[in-house]
Amino acid sequence: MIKLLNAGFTRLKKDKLFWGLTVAVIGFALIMLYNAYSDMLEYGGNVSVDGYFFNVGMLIGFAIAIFASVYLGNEYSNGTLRNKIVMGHNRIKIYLSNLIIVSVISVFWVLLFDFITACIGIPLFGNIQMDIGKFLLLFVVVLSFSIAFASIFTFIAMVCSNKTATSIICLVTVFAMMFGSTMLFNILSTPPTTVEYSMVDGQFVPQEVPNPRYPTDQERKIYQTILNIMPQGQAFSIVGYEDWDYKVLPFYSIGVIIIFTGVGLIIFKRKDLK
Amino acid sequence: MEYILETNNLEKKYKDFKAISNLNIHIKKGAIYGLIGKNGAGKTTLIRLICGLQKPTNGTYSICGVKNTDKKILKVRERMGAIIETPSIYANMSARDNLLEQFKLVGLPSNDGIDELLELVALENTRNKKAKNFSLGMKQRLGIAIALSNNPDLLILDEPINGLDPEGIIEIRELILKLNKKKKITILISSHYLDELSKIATDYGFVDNGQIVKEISSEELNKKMEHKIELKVKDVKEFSKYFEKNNINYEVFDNNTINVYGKINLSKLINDLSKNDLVADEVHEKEETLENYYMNLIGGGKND
Repeated sequence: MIKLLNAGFTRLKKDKLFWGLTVAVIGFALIMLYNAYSDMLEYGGNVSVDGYFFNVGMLIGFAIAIFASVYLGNEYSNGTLRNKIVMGHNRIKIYLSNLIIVSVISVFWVLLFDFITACIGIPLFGNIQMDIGKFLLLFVVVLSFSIAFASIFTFIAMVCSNKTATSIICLVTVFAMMFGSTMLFNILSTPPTTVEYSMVDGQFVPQEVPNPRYPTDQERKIYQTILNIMPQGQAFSIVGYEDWDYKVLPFYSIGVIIIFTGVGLIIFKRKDLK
Repeated sequence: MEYILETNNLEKKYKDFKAISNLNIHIKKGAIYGLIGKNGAGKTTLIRLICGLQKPTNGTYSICGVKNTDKKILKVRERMGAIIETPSIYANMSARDNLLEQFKLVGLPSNDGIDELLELVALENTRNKKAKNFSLGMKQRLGIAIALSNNPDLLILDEPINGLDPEGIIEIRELILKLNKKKKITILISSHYLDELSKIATDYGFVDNGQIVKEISSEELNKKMEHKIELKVKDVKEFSKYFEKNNINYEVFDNNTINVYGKINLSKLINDLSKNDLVADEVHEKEETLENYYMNLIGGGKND
């Protein structure tokens, strides 16, 4: 495993895609902070730096999907994956080493994004105002769902032998998660009541009535669970929902990592390679 | 006999299609084993199984005496190298970086051997040129260098000269001979280029319909491919007596055909026969080739 990791990280140093995506992560952080600062100057008021630390969740899924599909897809298309097997590397170790590499990269990008946010955001907007315990919990949530993303895209890239198909499936997956999360998030944000106007004595009188679109308790539980399972759903939850049960999120991520890695290992171990 | 690779009734099925069945191959240590067969005969499937890329449906194989079902097979594979169809190289890296990557995979403590390998495959002057800009021959040679990084005892080359120009073919041929002679590496080569194979192989295995139909050493094959004179005669017995008496190497092929082997002057032979009142109805001088032998053995299937 050490040999595989050593070779993988050596290759990474010369990987243009990795450096390109790293620049994109830095660029995203800088643009986000610049926009916030511009808004503060234009409209006045105070801006809290807290939320900006976790905005990386909006980007990280795309970055990992692109990286994993190309970096691991090249292993198939260049024939270097079979080279590892021919020379006696265990398939399980090959899979796990790739998962570790993609996970380390995703954690690196989160840390890099937050480092830039801290270095520039705190001097611009002031110190973190959030309770430090909650801040650390959210930080753990971001790291854990980033690794969950890594496990999903490593699974796709290791199970599918075609690089182009891998890239398409990874991107479709991340888009599907994004749209699915947006849709569920909107449903959960539906207010419990709505205002209806009725005519009383020739005048429209507003009246608060139960919202028929408001999901039932059972529906809410199902939608929340789906959002909790999806890494992109977690990313939406932490930036958009104040009273979410954040503590459970890392456990959902661990579940996703175990299931995708377990199934991926079983399939890859049995897979006929060309 | 010490075999570096042997299979025992190896079988690989894809759904209902048997790509190989009851395949038995025996490769001696130190041999250059030419695997010959038409497209779809099962050559690449056999190589994929031996390399651990696919699992056999039935049967077993052993590398250096270790069965594929034994966990030690992974350890044995550490002394194996292969190029299957295309060389396993990172296209965006230089030859040196590709070897550096391979050295890390092998777990070599130092990178000192990289220059030697680059020199061995004549890629020492490629500097920072990326592998994607290499010619096909250079890519194949880089693939061989990568396969040699772990100092293998067994090197498997699947169609190593496909698509190469004549110069590239000569370079690969010389490299294979050098590796076999100097580094004592056993080499299994599958190829459609029978003439090329006949220049380097010490043993042959002919594959057809997923089975080895014949294994033969180059010595035995050379005997069979000797220069021969085919005589169509009425009475094979009289001719046989004459050849026996004069110590001439011959073979009665059928009731009307006798083959005479060796470097014999055709005019002299006809003269000598007529002096003994032996007259052949037809005389044909034949030079057998590996290709003829293959066509006769496989039954005239197209060798593409």
